[in-house]
Parts: sequence; C-alpha cells; structure tokens
Amino acid sequence: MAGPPNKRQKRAEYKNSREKGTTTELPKKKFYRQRAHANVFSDHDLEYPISPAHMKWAPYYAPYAEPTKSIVKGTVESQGVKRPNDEGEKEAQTTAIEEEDSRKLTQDVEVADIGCGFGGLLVALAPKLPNTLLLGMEIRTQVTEYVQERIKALRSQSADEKLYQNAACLRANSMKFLPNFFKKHQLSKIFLCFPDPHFKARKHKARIVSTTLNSEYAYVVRPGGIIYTITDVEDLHLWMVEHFDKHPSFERVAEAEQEADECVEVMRTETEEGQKVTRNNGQKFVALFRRLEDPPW
Amino acid sequence: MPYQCLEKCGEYLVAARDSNIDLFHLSNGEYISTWSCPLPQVPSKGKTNGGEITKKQEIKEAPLEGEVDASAPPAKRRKVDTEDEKKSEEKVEEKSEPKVEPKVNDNGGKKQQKKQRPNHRTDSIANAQEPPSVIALAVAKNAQHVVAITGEDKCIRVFEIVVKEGNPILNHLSQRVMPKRPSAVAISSDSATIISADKFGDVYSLPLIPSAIPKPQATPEQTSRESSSLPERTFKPAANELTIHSQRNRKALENQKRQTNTAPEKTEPDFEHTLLLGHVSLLTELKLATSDGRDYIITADRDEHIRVNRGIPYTHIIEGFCFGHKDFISRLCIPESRPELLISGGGESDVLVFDWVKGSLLSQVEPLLHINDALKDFDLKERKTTVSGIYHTRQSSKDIIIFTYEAIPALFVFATSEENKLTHAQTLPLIGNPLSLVFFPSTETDTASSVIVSIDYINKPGTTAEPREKDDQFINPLQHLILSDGVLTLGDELPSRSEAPKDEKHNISKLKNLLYGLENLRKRAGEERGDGGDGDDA
Repeated sequence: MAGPPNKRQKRAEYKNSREKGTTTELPKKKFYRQRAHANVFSDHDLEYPISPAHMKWAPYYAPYAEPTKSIVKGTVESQGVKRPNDEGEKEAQTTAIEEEDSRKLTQDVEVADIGCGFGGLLVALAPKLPNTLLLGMEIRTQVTEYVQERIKALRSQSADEKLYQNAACLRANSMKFLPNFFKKHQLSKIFLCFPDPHFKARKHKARIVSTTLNSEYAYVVRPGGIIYTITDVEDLHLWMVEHFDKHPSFERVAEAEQEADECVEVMRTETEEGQKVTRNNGQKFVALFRRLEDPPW
Repeated sequence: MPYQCLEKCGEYLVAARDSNIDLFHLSNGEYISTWSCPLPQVPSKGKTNGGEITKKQEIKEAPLEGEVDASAPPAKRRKVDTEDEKKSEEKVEEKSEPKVEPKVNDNGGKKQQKKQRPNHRTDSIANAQEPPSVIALAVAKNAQHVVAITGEDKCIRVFEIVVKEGNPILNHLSQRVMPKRPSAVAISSDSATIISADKFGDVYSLPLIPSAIPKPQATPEQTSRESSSLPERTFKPAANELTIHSQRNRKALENQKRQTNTAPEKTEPDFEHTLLLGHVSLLTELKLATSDGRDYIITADRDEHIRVNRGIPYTHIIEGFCFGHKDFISRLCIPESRPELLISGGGESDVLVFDWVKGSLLSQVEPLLHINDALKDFDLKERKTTVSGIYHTRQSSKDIIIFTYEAIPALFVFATSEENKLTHAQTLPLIGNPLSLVFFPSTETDTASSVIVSIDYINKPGTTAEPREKDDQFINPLQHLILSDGVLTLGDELPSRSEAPKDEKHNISKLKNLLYGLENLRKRAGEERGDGGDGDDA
C-alpha cells in the first residue's frame, strides 16, 4: 500500500537530496520503511541474471573488478575520426559502461545474507571478513535501497581505510532465484537471520527453510560451508532444525563450535532484529548447519 | 471435442478429449472404446440441521461416508477455470437456496444469511456439474498401464489395458487425489513408479499400483471418530509476548490465546507418496533421464529454470541447471537416440539445445523464422508465441524433431546436425491448430512411418477462441501424415468415428483454457510490485 501523498513526497525529496549531494551521512531509516512481509510466490518486477555467468558484479564490488580490457580498445577508437552524430557517441558510451559493468571479479562472492533487512549483519561482518565478498539479498525495494545507501555512505566515510568495499546489497527473491546468482558450491556461508515466521500452516511453503528449498542451499554452498540461522520464534527454530536435520546434505554444528564462531555473536547482537529482540527482552534461538559432501554416486 | 493429448501405448493410440479417453488401433486408426470420467462424487446432502459449523463438517466428512467409494475424490472446492462455469454454478446455488430458506428464516436476520453464503458456494462448487478434464497422459514402458491426470480434481488415475469381450478397454484401476494440481507426470523405466510434478512446485513419487495392503482398514466412521477423540489439542499460538513488537500483533496474540478450539488439521493423502524435490515456482515439465547408468529427474518451471536433479533415492541433490531461457519453459524433449541432449521451448521465440549433464547451452534456433506462404496471414510478429510440443523420432538414421506452437496451424520439422544444431527441414501447414502428435512405428530401420496429429477442428486455424463457420466441411480431429525420408506429407484420411460430433455444444472459453493454457503462464508486467512504501517494521 502506498503511503499518504505527503509521506511519499517527503521520501522522494529526501532521496533526491541524497542523490545530488555527495553526502557521507548515513541514510535515515524512516524514509525507507516497508511492510515486513513480501509474497515470495508472486512475480514482482524482479531483475535477475539469466545465469550466474550473466551476473554483472563489477558495479557492486568495483575495487575487486578486473581492469577493463577496453582501455586499450578505447584509445584506439579515440584516435579514429570522431563520429559526427551524438547518437553514435552515446552508443559508444553505453557500450563502454556495459563493458565496465561486465568486468569479471578477481574473486567470487562467498557469503550471502538472505533477507538482509536493513543490513546490520552485513555492515558488522564486512570489517571482520575483509578478504571475503559479502552480499545482502533483500526482497523489499525500499529496504534494499536503504542498505545500498548505507554501504555507500560507509564506504565514503572510511575512504582512507577502504572499508566496506567487500559488502553489497541487491534486490532479489532468493527463494526463487538463488541459483541465478551463484554457481554450484560458490558460497561458504549463508545467513538466515530472523526470517518471516509465517505462522499459518497454510503458509509454511513460504518459509525460507523447507525440505525442498534446503536442496538449493546445498547446491550453492560448498561442502564444509555453514548455514547460520537465528530467530526469536521457538516454533520456527524447531522447524528449521527439523528440516535441516532431515536433509541428508546437512548436519547440525555442535554447540561448542557454534559459540566459538565469531559470526554467531555478530548475528546475535548486530542485526536490527537482534537488537530489537534484546530491547524487548526476547529469546534468541541459534542453529548452525554444516554442508556435507555429497555421497558418491 | 478435439483431442488435447495423444499417447502411443503398444499397438494402441490413447487419446484424451475433455474428460474422456478414447482407444484406437494404431495400425488402421479404427476406434475401439472410450473411458469417460465420472462426475465428481457428490456428497449426499444431509439434513440441514444446525448452522454454519455442521455444514462445514458435513463437507469434510462427506468423502468418508459409507456409500462413497473410499478412493473417491473428496468433495473439495474445485478450482473453476472459466467464467461460464462459475455462472452455471451460481445458478445451482440459487436453486438450492429454497431448501435452506426455512432454516434461515428461523434464525432470522440478514446477518445470518450473509454468513451462510460462502458455505453455500463451496457446497455448490463441490457439486460441480462437469467431470474433470484430462490434462496429461503417460504410458508405462510395459505398454500395459496408462496414467492420466484430471485437472480440476487434482487426481492421478491409473488404467490397465485389458481385453473385455474381444475389445480392448481402459480399465480404471485407481485414482489418487494429490495435495496440489499435478501439471506433468512420468513413469519410471521399470513401470513401477509414477513421478508427478505439481503447480505448487513439488515433485512426488507414488507406486504405479497402490500398495496392496492399504493402511489399517478402519471404517470411515472410526477414522472420523479417532481424529476427533484425539487428546484435545488445544490451539497454541506459535508466537509469544516476546516475539511481537507492535500493538496490532499484541492484540492478535491476545485473541489467539482466548481461542481454545483445535485448529483443523490438514489431512495428508492416505496413500503412499514421497516428496522428492521442489521448486518455489509452478512446475511445467518433468522428464526422467539416464546418463552413464545414473538416473536423473529433470524439472522445468515458470521462472525459466531447468533443474537437473539426481534420481531416486538421491533426489535431494541438485546436479545443475540449464540456464538460458528468458521466459517460462513449457516443453522439454530428450531424444531417445541422443540421450545427452535436451531440447527445451517455452514462451519465447528461441528453442534451446543443451547438454544437460554439463548444463551447457549447445545451440539455439528460432523455428518461427521458417514460415512459408501458407502461414503468411498469421501475424506472428505481433503476438507472443508459446511452444506447445517438441516431438522426436528417428528415421533412416536421422533424428527428426517436430515443434508445434499454441494456435499456429503448422508443424515445424527440424533435423539434428553433427554439431548438435537444429537445421530446418520443412514447415507443413495444417488445416487446424495442432494439439498433440504421435509417431508410429518408430523403429529405426523404417523408411516411412505414420504420424497422427490431433487438430483443433472447432476454432479457426490460428485462433484460440473463434469457432469456425457452421457449414464448414467436417474435419477429422485426427489427421494422418506420412513421414518418409524425413519429409512429411499428408496421408490417407483416417476412418472417422461413427458418432458424428455434430451436435456438440462447446464452451469456447473452457476449451481455450484446456487447449491453449500454456500462454497463461506468461508473466504480466507490473502485476504486483510488492513495493508498498508503507511499513510498520523496523
């Protein structure tokens, strides 16, 4: 539902002003709030690559992109006669951008935060895992935009230390299109933090964890990789444990090992939902699952 | 009615038209027998004592009532496809009104009446007037069993071909109602297991012949009593005070806590079935494949995915995906003689050829570029097209692939080349839209074989809902073609069925959904943006 017009207008004004200024200020959440639930079965107006090979990662992780090959090509072209019509020039420009965008990364994204919300985990993990590329995936446009703005601001704030270059966020319906973004066994960690509990039995297929969907996580995560889950709803926790336990590709990580993992603490304290649960003196249920080798065939 | 699905079963042709399945001799095209799907079992409408709740119970218990066959489909709310049907049902609803009226009057008040209305509706839909249509057929390798899916009642039906009084007939062995409407079905190569993909994205396996020893035979009454005498499972909200953060949710939780009655458990099907795998999308196609002696299940969905899964019992392992489609996928074909290839088509002009084990795209081709003069009238540039069939046969050591499109009256014939490319061989115009197709015999040594194509003889060629003129000449719904040296030509007319389908009345919109339903899979732009600016979350 669209908000009242003045609210919408204020949002537009705010975002416009951010776009113009080269602000290093963090974005304000109040201009990006959105209903907490999205229908994962509907088509939306999603953008997703045809296959992982088609994904243009360079705009998200610019410092990690391979240098353009077209630099050489570009100089050759500029030596030639300048085309008289603007259109040709524009075309050349767009192809240049296109080429720049489709540069390959020197390393692959390895950590995905599925349903990253306002990006608390992403932003906290980025400095802790400085040599790993992290990707937040969020289905709500407004929230995605917030995280992107947040990362942009953090990047420019820490321009000297070059922090947060390894974190990015994009809009996606991960339940449908995860394999469009990641190759087989590409990821080492997936985070599922405070997912929508979908209380009604009728809605259980919409839960982020299910027997059939776990197979897709097993596909994108390499053997030895870890799926992190946390929730404040005990029922959902039990559901997630049950479904990962049932899946032959996963085993639960023992508690001692779980508590020794630095990501677990971050997940407990740095996610927005985690902080809210703390404020409300709520419970937090954590469970980690390791991806096992596939049986020989 | 035109035939929406054709399959070859040994020496017979199995052909489904609406809710009937006809059997023909393949050798001479002679009609043998018909199986007609019975009307959905209607629960005996009991006395209307009590209000809303008893009515609900009645519906739920109905399939368990003594006189109804235990395997009969439950009188559930059917998904109705067309406007017209809805209308007719509404009429029924009105008719049944008087029966209940006195009751309503007793209780008086308009509110009551309003409350009862929705129940009325479920009731009348359950009493649907039309038998469900057959939406897919599969034939077991042993050529003895035929599996049919009927759509509206989500039912998988198994038949055996038996000879009765000298005539082969389809003997209805079993019917099993699936949790969701199946959309594609296959039978394992040992003819023992049915594998069914549904519109909810799940794939199930079930034994072809339901296990001989059914679950402990409890009389229907017992079962219903058992379920109700279970230790009163009080409804326990999954949330607690600590998990909710907003005023409204708090109120909802308070209300939930006040609620004490047991939430109705959704009943699982009571026959043996196993969930193998699932997509979060509508499944459109399912193929079983083998490579290096390993079994695979290949599934395709509305979100452009072709997924290669390991076969039973390792179906939880995804081996790979075949990426490249830009729109929904409607058909897959693995040529028997080139089992490493996968040809796929859907809601886009290109047809793709994959090495499915590697997940690599080998080539793509646009059959619709090969439109000849006979088809010039159909403005194909303007409209979106959907592949409705991909058929393979082998002749004189050549692989021949035929493509059909929804509402395009032609067959597009291609040959596979050494480099795994498809090369156009021929475009054969037809007198009506092709609906389904079978080859026979398809032994490799034959230099000529027959092809039977079912034709939409009701609509004008190239259209999906424009009936032909009344006095148009009679068109045989099954057309006979000859494939010789890789070239298709029109063959002799098949003997037409004795009962002339003259006086048939056709529900054009129902027909459109049945014969041309694939186009409905196309995503509509901006349908739901899921992008409300409003929000109470944090």
